[in-house]
Amino acid sequence: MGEIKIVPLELFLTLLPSYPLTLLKTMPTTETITREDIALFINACCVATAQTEFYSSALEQRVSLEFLHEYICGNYRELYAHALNAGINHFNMQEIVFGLLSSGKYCPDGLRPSENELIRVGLQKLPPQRVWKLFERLRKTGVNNRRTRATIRTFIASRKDLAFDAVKYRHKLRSSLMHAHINLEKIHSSNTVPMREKGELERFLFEPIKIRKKGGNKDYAAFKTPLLEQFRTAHYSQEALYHLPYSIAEVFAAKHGIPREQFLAKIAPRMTEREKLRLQEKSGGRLELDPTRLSLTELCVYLLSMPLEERFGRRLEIEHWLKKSCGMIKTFPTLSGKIACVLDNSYSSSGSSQKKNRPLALAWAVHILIRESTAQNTVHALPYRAFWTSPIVDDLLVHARGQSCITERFLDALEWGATTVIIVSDGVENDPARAFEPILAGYRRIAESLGGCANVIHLNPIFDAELLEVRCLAPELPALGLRDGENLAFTLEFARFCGGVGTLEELCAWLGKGG
Amino acid sequence: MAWEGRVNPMQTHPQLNLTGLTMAPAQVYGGIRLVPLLRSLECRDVRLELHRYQEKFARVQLDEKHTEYWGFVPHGLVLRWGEKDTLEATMGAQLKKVDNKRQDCQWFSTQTLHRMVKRESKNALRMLPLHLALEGFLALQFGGPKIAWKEYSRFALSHGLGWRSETAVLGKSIYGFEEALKTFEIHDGQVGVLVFVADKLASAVVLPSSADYRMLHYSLLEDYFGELIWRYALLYSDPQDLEVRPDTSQAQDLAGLRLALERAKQHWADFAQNVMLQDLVGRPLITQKVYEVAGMQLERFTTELDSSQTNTIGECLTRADGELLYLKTFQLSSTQTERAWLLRHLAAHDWHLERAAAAIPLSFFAVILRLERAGFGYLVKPHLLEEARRKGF
Repeated sequence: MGEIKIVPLELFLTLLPSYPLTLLKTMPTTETITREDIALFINACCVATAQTEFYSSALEQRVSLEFLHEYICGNYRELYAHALNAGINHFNMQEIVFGLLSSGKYCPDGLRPSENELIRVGLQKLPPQRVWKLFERLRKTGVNNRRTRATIRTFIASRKDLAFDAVKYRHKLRSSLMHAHINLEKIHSSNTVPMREKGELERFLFEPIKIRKKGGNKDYAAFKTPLLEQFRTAHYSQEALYHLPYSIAEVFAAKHGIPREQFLAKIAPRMTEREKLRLQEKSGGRLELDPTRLSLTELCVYLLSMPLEERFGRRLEIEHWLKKSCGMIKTFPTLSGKIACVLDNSYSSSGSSQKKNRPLALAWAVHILIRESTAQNTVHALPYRAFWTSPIVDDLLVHARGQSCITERFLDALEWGATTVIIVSDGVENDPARAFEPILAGYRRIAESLGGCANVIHLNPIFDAELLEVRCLAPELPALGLRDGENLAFTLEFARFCGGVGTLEELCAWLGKGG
Repeated sequence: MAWEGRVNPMQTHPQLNLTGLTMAPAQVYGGIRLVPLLRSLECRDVRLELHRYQEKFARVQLDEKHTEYWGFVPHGLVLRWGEKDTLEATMGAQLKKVDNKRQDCQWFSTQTLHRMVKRESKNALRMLPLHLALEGFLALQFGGPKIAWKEYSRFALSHGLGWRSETAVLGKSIYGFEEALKTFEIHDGQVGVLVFVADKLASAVVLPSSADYRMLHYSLLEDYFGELIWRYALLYSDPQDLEVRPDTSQAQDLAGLRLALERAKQHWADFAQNVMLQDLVGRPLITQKVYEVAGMQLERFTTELDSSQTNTIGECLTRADGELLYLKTFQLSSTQTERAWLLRHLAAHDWHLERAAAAIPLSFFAVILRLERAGFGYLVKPHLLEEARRKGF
């Protein structure tokens, strides 16, 4: 981890006495730079996943993101740790925890307790598979300091059902235990599903499953804990594997040569909604999925994967799902006046092979959310209209097609009389390129004579690897990284720190209280 | 062997006409700038579809005298025409008759195609895109000297040029071109594209309808380009900033802003037409009719060979009213231009070397050396070549 330090402006002045004063006056202060850097970083952490995007490869994304993490960790360690609280995506939380643990020696003593606490809370927020993957990475990169070991120990102690983890993440749990030198008997565990027999878990993890009982008995040594025993029996019995988690059962099904359809039909009750979602297309709809349990963005991604005819045919069902999904959202953005959304459904919103239709799904999710929240406004329904770059007759049939003519749709929205314009776009325009900036400047100049300037917000679901930030349409209109549709209220709250309204102290306070 | 007898004679044509096509703002990726061409009036009675060939080499039988064209032909185009609205663009599975002869050799396979342009059925015509233009270029003065001047070698007098070859680069190997096509956002109503590499016109492509363009977008990777274009793509990956910004200083209301935006688009279209396309549009062309069918005329053309400018060859399909239905162009390198220019210059002077030399003006031996450098040394008697080398012009 490099030690890049920002030279304070005062020191900079003494170093360069002959520096022209006029230039110095326009130079930003350290505080502004810090605020901008942190805002940029949090925005990037909301959207970047180091996966292939439409305009950049996975490698480009990874390299840019790695640099950004190192830069922020080296310069603003405290704020870097606090970013774990800022509603960023799981991938970047993982990266931050890794960054903090692997650069522990640069952590000032005063910061240690708060950093440890942030890491602990951060790991609890992450889905378990990500944490196990992170521990594996710590092991592979040889990060094995006392704090890392303590972190792993605390996490393992906090697991509710270790037997389940042992079956589902057998290899990762074993390597974490080895890496952190943990004796399972000695840690104070919050395991609510205790083992039936002492030392059973260790035997399960560290000894071969097919070991024979001592004394020449032909039976294999059975486990007393049901799940562990089912794992053992699944080696021989086809019935036992249906009690195991789906991903593990899949392997045994292949081993026993069970036909795929038969396996899926019988394992369905054990599958999580996400597992069912992943398999929807491959199983040809045979797996019963309950889309009302998906979040709004996930639902939108799922709907976009449906062929247009199917979407058209199942209209009533789909509208019901969308309503239900919106109903699960706790906080809606506070809006007023006439609201217009300029939504990018150009070809680039089809995303990449790794993030198929993701930008379009986010734009759609924002559209649905705002449509619902304006319709449910307490006093009276607010006027709302969506402007898609490539106009569509029916919202349900939205798909990625055509060029990005954001500026034209922006003018359409203003002509309609919008007082708030929310733009969801990847920030790349090509009809014509970079026309938004002069048009926005022109609009702001004449806005007073037109009866007040509309409030313009730009949400961007893509991290631009080349620019190291979420790309904005105009420098005066900083883009906000949009993580998912349902957290729109939270994203809009962060907007004031990007636009320069909020100060650094406010930003720190906002991060401190957990976003 | 002489192509003049085989097909229609050449004509000088005023220039290429792009009316009815508008240029939308360019999309840039790396050093590659793609300018969409939109057709204001959708064409519904003509379709072009792709016909893939799998073999490494294609052998095209050009005439009854066993003149052959050999090349890498990854695809052909099939032109179909019919009544208005009766044709649909098709994608994927279609039942086709296997019409070409395939032959497996030890390490490669060839297929034999009959003619560059061939009527497949009552309302279908198969052609080999760009190969048609290149074949015309290669066959230039293919018959060699018509009068047996004593300077020419025995080979030249009995076989003409004998055989000729030119090299070109496949679109796939142009740096960044695949990515540029992948990230390109196709407009509604787009029928063609202008490909600029380092702001040099690499190729202009026009197809009859927008549905065809969507189908054939990626087939540009299998088209071929001039060698210079390949070099430019490697050398100049940072394009110039040619975008036109809307000027909003005069705008007083939203309509004013919209007008500024429209003006910017118009500016770009004018600029592209008048400045960026000057290698192609407005240049005098030498055209040759290849096929005429259903009121449409298939022609191949080359710009008048001018060594101070970039020269282009291509092929186009036009209706009687001048509507451009299909166009593909290929940029010639300077050596290719030189070769064609020399042949045409010699032909213009009845292959009389001394007269041709005087017209340039150059000395007799200098012309011989120039012929040799262009790769035509085998046309001249060896002792003249040796003398020219010795004199060292």
